[in-house]
Amino acid sequence: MIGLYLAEGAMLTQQVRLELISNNLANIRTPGYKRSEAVQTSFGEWLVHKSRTGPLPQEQRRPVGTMAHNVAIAATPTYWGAGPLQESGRTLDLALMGPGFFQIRAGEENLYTRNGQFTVNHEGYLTTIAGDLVMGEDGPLFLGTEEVRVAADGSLYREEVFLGRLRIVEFGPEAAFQRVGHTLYRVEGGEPLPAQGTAVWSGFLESSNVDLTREMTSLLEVRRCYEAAQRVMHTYDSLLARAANELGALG
Amino acid sequence: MIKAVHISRNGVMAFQSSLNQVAHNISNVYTCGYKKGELVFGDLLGRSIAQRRLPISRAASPPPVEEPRTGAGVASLGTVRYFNMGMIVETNRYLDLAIEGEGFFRVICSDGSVAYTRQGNFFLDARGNLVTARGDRLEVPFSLDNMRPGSLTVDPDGRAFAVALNGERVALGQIRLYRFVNPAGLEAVAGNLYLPTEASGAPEGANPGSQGFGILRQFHLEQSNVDLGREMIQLINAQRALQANARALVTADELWSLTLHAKS
Repeated sequence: MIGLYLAEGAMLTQQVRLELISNNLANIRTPGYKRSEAVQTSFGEWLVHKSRTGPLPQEQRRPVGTMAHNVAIAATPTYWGAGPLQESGRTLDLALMGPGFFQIRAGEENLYTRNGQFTVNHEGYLTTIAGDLVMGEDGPLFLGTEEVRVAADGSLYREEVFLGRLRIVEFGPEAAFQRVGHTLYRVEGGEPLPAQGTAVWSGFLESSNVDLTREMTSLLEVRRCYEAAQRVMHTYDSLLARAANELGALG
Repeated sequence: MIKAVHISRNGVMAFQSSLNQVAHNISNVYTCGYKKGELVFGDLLGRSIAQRRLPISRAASPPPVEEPRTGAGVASLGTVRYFNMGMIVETNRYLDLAIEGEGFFRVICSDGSVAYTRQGNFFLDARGNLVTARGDRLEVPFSLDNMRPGSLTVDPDGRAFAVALNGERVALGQIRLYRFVNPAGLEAVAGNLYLPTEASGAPEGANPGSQGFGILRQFHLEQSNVDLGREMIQLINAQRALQANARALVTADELWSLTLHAKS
């Protein structure tokens, strides 16, 4: 009756997939959001032996094949594909054309994002909408006003006065990204390097890279996979009902 | 499944607010000096899958760099107000003042508090004060009492003149403008007025035409900066996003129903 638990595993896995799809759909309008998907894997495969009346001694065992004993989530990787650029017309909406991240100082920690929806705080520093400082090449960027011009190389000017340059960094393949919410990422195991050839577009935002068609297709797939697993469970239930009620019945 | 329901519910609510904001912008497409707002969204972090005792594989190779986790949906982080200028149109009405460039008028409300606005279509009250349509008094050191009707002239640098009843041209005083380090941090209140907050910083006053301040244009009005075309796109986006989230919600409900019917 292990199949009953296999069906359960399949249903739980599909639930996780549904949560990820729901999360992608919820963030379809979040700038700089990167979709994530569940990668499913089977549990380790086991060798199955022939048996008639319980386990046989080692020398009489005859393998009949392998069988995976459940399904599980292996990872929920982030897909880094660029989202389409969307014109907003706001000077402090910045989009990165090419690889790289903005560096954000949240408390004592450096976090990274591709969401360039920035503003100026009451002290005149460039911050994210949540209020964390956006880092320039020489620390936080003091603008004093929202009326600035942003050049393609990330330099900020107020009436031709140079104010500073945005710090835009890239990471090598060894870096591990961890989501921390609000489209920010913590990076472990990699040193930030200046991004090469990445242009900053002012007045644009990088939209979420969630594709509605793909997510809706996955939604249908989850629905049907879940239904199939439910059928298996249903069938097992019928079998168990028969075993319990009919096999032992008299007459 | 309850979790998926909550995630989708977050999404539906976020896009509902987005629709409300679009509707608000569209309804103010003819409000002079209105500055459109747009909602800002951020994703929320969920708990790791392992902590929730859902099946995960530890045997994957190479091991995943990030612990498998789902999100918790989306949250609205607030409204970004777009302070770009609306179109300045000629009205030929002598009490219409448009600010070309940065700055706000300061008005004194009936309860004595001060507020800031860019809505420049003023009226006269019984004492000859310049007031907004709502009756809030423009902060100026003069009134148009005992002046010839319609004789007010305002220079681009904010100096106001009028012709007295005896036909003499008199200098009335100066209209000042105020600006904020972070206008996006201003609190928008009813009547197209803004109040300073900790996020906006304190107001800095100067005469029009000073460094960093706009100039005044009499006989002109600044239109709303709402662009109907863009709002329509926002409307379609928000509506479709809402529908997609509603669809995910329905799917979660269907899975739930399937679970309940697993037993024959």
